[in-house]
Amino acid sequence: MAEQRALAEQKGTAESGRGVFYGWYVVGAAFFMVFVSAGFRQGYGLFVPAWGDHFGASVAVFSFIASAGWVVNGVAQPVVGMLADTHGAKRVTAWSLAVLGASVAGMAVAPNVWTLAFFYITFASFAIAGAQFTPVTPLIARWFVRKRGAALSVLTAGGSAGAMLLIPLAANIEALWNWRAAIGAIAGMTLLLALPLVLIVLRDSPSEMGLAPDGDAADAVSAARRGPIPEGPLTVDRWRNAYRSAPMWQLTLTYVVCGVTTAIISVHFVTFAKTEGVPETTAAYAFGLLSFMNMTCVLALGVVSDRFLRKNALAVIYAARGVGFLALLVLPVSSGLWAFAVIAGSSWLATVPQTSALAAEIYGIRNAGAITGMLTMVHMLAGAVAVLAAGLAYSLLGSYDVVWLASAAMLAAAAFLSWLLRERELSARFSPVRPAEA
Amino acid sequence: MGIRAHHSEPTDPELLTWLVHALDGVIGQGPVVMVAVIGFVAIVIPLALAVLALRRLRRR
Repeated sequence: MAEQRALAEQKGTAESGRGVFYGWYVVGAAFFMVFVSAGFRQGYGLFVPAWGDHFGASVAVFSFIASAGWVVNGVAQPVVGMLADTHGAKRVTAWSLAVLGASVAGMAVAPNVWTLAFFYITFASFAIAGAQFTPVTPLIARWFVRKRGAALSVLTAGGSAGAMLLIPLAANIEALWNWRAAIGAIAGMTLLLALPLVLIVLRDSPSEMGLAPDGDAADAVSAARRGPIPEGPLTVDRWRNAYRSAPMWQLTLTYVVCGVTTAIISVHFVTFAKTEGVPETTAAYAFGLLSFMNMTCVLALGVVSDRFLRKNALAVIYAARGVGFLALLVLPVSSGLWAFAVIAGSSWLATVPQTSALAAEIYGIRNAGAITGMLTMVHMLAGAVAVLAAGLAYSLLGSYDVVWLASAAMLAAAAFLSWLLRERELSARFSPVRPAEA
Repeated sequence: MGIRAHHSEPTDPELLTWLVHALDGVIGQGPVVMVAVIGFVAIVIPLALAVLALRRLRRR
């Protein structure tokens, strides 16, 4: 046993000295998994007109299916997080991809709208939760310590890339053939590309390969001896105990604001553009710019946050988004839209890796899946409620001004709450604790 | 494209139509070219990653 360990340590030391650190292969595989699952989920709306024609159902039916899928996906987040904490992220993601691929294939051959709804709500929406950020966050956190923000940012950008490439791919396949071919292609990518990639590449922890986090040769020996579970200053035995401390509530409340402000725009953008008389092309280009900004800035902020306090990065991100909402309120609509695209777009996804990294660094990795899942669930459900509230406000007032003002105020509060986090005292980056035995 | 949701919430169908039209206008290629190019990228990247990872794992 001691010989095997020594051999692993030697290999780890040797490997870390040559080529790309294996952790980046793990990030690459997780990126592609998120690319496929997020691209499929965001592309749901693409098929609604074709489904309406084919099945003779109204948009309301497909809206209900999307809403039900939203709730299932939100509730599934802590479940897949706990499963990842217990059984390992690789097992959870592989099973999720298998179920997702099979259910998407079922959607592609669905004979009626109810079969389609059954596959989407019951299986696909649940499985997507297991093929995205929640189960992979603790895995990435095990592979990276110093570069954790950068690695989680690359993972997050996978969702953006999925929408940027998979949705046009599906739209063009639909244009060439039909919606069944487009959905079938996504099922094929899930089962034939993403699933094998995860099975081949993913490893739950660098210690499985005798490596140390970040590819550190010097730490390989001690890392292998210590075990694979880095702790945080507020490490908890059970995820729910995290809610007995202030940082968990700070992260939860700020993430609620994040969910509220992103969901409102995602659903009300078209109505807002039409109300303000923004031409379709201008609105689409502004939205494209927002998407470009969010993908580039999430990567840049990920790298930057590894060098500075993450809580300050989060505060700046929320404040910037608040300024973006104020721009919608005070500037003429055309310039306000472009300003929003640049300022708020740069903040759009950047909260995800920062919040996940902070949670892992404060509460350790033992329950990181469940904690990330809880944060994600709250983010999603708060967003769903906010969409309804914003719609009600628009119906009553005939304008989104109050919604933008309320969003800016909430974002200012979120920025302040983030800034108040006692990261230097409570993060493993600044207050290292002795890691637990595996 | 529509990437404003952190957790990939389904995108508004009308907004997706706008974005696809805008992208078609910018790139100006037909569906065959788009499917060929994006499909190639989407297949080659995971295959290359799997091959490189397998080589690394075998070396160990």
